[in-house]
Amino acid sequence: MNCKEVQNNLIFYVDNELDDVKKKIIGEHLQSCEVCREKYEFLKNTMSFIEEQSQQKANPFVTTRILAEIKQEKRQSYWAKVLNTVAIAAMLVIAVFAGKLAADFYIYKNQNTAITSIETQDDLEQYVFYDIQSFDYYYLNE
Amino acid sequence: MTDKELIEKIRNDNERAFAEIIDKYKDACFRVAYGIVQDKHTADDVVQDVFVKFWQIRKDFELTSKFTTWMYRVATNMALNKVRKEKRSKVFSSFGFDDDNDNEFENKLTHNAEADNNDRNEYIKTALKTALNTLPKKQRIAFVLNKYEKMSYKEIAEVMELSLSSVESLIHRAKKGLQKKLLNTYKNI
Repeated sequence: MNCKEVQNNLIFYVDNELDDVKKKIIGEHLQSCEVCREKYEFLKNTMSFIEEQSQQKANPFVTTRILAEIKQEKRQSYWAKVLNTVAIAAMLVIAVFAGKLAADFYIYKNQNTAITSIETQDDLEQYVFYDIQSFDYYYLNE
Repeated sequence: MTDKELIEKIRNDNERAFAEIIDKYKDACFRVAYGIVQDKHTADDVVQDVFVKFWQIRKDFELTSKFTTWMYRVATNMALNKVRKEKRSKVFSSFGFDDDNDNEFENKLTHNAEADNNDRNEYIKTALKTALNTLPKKQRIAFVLNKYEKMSYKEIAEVMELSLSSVESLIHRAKKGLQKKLLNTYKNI
């Protein structure tokens, strides 16, 4: 095996994933080749570093932090619910008020139309607000 | 208490059961996140985000699902998002910076070699972080689950929803890629 072939297999040599024949050949090469040996040492150190890193633990206060965060979210969602209810109630009040205004305007407009277009008793009877007696009285006395 | 029992309680808003599941899995979640982001504080943030997310979806969490499988998937995704954001913010913060990974890699290492040639651990840390960042997403996840969480290929296949042979191939390619990148770095010392 030449240096390039050895260097292509170094990481597997470090991880002990090669068959016995390859392992022996690379082992012998490393004893005689300083360049490959240095690279092997570098990869070995890097893999040991990963091993060290994999022993690390989470911040011991992380549980407290998470519980505090969900409590805060709960509080926020409570106020969001309250605000939603208030907003819906306000919209309902506005809708009712606007409806009443629109109805009043409609009635007022229709009353005016009625006054200008009444000419016969038939016309008059189409309207809700009428007084037959006063109508008759009006025409009889005219 | 088993995970299923805990999850059933958590679904009924039991905070004590929630704290128990955090204590049980926070370190595993941290290791996986750390393997990807290579930074303690960011990994802690990922742990926090994963469990808060779990609390938010607790009512919809299927009791038939395995908690750890869900946790590893969410943790790897969140960690990869953090790395992506970090890369993006670096690009924005340095006007005219070339976003080529190779350049970033060489710049950091040259700087490190000059600044502190004796600090091997710091050097390895930077070299490793940059080399890991150059790996394709799936290779990185498979490698991290195997090396940082000591998961078997079968467990990785379950988490990544891949076949066993695909996982073997991903890890093999990840190691080859890391080796190439690390040895190129070594030339520059």
